[in-house]
Amino acid sequence: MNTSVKDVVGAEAIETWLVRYISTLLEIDAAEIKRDKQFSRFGLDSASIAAMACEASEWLGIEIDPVAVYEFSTVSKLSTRLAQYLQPSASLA
Amino acid sequence: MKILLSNPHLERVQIRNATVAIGVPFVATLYGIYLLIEGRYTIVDLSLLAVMYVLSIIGIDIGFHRYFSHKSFRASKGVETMLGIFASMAAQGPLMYWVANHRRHHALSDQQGDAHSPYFSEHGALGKAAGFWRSQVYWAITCRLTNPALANDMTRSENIRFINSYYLSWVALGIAVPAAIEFAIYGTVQAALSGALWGGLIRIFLGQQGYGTINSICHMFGKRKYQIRDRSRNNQWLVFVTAGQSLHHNHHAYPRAALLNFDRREVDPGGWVIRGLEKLGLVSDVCEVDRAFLNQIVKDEK
Repeated sequence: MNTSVKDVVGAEAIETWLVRYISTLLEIDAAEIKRDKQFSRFGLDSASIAAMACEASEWLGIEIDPVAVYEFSTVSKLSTRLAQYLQPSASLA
Repeated sequence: MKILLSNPHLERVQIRNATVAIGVPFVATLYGIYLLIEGRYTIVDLSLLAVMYVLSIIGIDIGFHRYFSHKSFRASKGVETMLGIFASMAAQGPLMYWVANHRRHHALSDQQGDAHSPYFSEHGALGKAAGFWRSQVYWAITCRLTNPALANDMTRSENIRFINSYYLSWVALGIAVPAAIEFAIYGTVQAALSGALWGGLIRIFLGQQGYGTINSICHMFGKRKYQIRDRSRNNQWLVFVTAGQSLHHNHHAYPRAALLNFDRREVDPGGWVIRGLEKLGLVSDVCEVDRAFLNQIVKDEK
């Protein structure tokens, strides 16, 4: 039960991080970044998405394959997926 | 913003992609040398090689380098697209990758973290031979990942995203066009393959290695005139191989300048292209070097 609460918080924090990353990168207002809008509609190409996932994984201290998260193509989908990566280590701890 | 990224998965992708991009043209060139020795080539083969080389090196230097990386002039959409496609044909990586790597080179010139300095790898100082090898070829395979965010301004243009995302198609086009030309002339599959070999793969090898001299020779040998921190050098003898970029010390002294011949004795063929396009009204706002600034940083000659 504790793990799931932690995960919800994790996903939200990741969501905030992703929004801040995109708004800094593209120099647009964070409020304009809708959580369910496809990354490609912001103008992010595959390399930019990979780089974002890569920086997020460094920040979270987890190893992920950025190519494997391509299908998670919105802020909310990607943050949920990244939060799942945190799960095993959290339960191991 | 981070300049370097770490990710073992992406590093493996880079190693694989760069090895293929450099290795295949290299092997094709070995075969070309054999054909040359055997006398099995035509004047059309060599002409296609020359024309395609000139187009792709103009694309790389005037396009990827002076226009996209440094914004040293403004171009019409048509010119922008042509420069981007010609450059992509050179098989030196997609537009945004190239631009990000080049901006990293300026941010960390000849320091640890520069993707292709002959003086440092990411692990420390290099000897001369190892430095030459790394800056000429090996960096593209083994350097740490460059953050594509260094080219984030590029993502705002739909046209640039289009050029960038069809990279492999442009590389294929650069091989298919000379093949099609030879097929049109001789009408045989053999001739088409010959066109693909000389105008495509061998031309790619020569372009990669020709422009690679900017990273190696032009940071190791040649003349310096200005007091700047990196170790760039001018090599007039390489201007026709590099579209003028071998006046590389001049470029580092004033990176936004569109034309690299800062003094009358220097020749910049790439500059002729930019001036020509400007006369045709296809290019504007050509950034001139700031002479007052150059005078401040010039070294005493005697």
